[in-house]
Amino acid sequence: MQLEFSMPTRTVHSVSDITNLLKRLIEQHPPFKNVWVQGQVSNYSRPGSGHIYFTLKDKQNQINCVIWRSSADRLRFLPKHGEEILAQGTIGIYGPQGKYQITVSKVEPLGIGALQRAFEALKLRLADEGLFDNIHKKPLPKFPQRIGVITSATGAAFQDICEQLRKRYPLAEVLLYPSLVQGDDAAEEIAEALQAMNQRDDIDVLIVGRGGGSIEDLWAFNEEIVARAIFASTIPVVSAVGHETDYTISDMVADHRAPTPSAAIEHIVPDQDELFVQLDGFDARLRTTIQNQMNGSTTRIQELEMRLAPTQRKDAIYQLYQTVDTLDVACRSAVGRTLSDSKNRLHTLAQRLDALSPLATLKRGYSISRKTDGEVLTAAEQVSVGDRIEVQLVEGHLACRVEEFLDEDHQK
Amino acid sequence: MTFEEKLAKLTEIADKLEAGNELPLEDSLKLFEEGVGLVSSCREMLENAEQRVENVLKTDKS
Repeated sequence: MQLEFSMPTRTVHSVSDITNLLKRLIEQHPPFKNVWVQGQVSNYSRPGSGHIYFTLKDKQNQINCVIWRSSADRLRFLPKHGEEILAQGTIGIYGPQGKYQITVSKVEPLGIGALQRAFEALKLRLADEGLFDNIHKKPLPKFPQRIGVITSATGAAFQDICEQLRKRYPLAEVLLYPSLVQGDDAAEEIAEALQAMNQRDDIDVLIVGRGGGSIEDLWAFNEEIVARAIFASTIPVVSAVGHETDYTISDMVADHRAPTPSAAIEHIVPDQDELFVQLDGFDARLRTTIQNQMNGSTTRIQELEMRLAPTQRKDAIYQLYQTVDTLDVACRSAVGRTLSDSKNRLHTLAQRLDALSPLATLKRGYSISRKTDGEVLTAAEQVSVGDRIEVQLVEGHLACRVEEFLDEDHQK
Repeated sequence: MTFEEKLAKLTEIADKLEAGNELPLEDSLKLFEEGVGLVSSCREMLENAEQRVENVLKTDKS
């Protein structure tokens, strides 16, 4: 787009025409759509509208700036009078006052910008060197006995660590190595503490950290000297810098990262409530197993008893069969008629014995009666009153005399 | 024994006891008693633990 200044025929423009022309020229010029400007804040004001007005100046010049209320509400940092800042925004024209200005969308205190750049540079360099690689990450002990803590002795971080540890796993001992955690000397002290702790051989894990704070407060944990000391540590290191969103260099180089010091404790010690549950589980397992085995043994004994008893029964039965055989021979020569009866009766007897406890059955009083010539008595009519008969008992023999015949029912 | 060692021993005993159907009852009972003893000693360790905090004073700056 170009203006034509043809002198012979004068073209007259309105102020608004020129303003709009400049607006188009400037506002559509790509580099002006997103500029970062560094300068010192002056003439800061925030009237009732909620918009913020100020000027950015250096030694020679100044530029008007505006932050609309909608942006202002979202900003983490607001400019303050006299402060050196970095402002990001678009360059535009404000027609009513004939001024050009920057509509600011983001503000950073200048110091932060420098820190941020240093952070990014160090992060890249250490990443290139492999300091953040997973291969270097040491596993945490499951049941640390001694936890080394590097933080301020007076800070809330240390109190939180002790409190959390008391709740979760009071068995672990805490060894505090007090250190500054902010300010110019902090990084060096932290690195020194890490080295000193590594001289000892009784520490299972180290927590290095502090509570939350501004990026400047946490800066020690972005220093190279701290990163290298963490990397060099032979003891596993948990970085616990109270900073929810961004990671510090320490977080990246440490073996584990926790968002807060008390969260670090959750990472490195078991929870005693869970341990109690686990112990109950062991208790139940042991009891169930031993109970099962006892039950198993009892069952085996019962089985053996069962197996033993029928054997006894069989023995008794075989003895009976033997008697039957003996009788068989005797009977064959005597009364052939009664042979099968005797066998049947003895067989029935054997079956009954089989069904009952043999010893008890044998003691029930069964006996065999014979005539003097050895003929087995199976019917009363085989003898007469006055006859002598022999009665064979389970143990021993009797000689008896028949006195009288009794009725059938009496015999029962 | 540390808590960790006791827990490891306990795991070993429970596994052995569970796997060992052929173990004589007497051996099982011995294992059982040892295991139950470990459970209660672990519980006691946790219940009676008192927090110990030590401050390492820096030799050059204290």
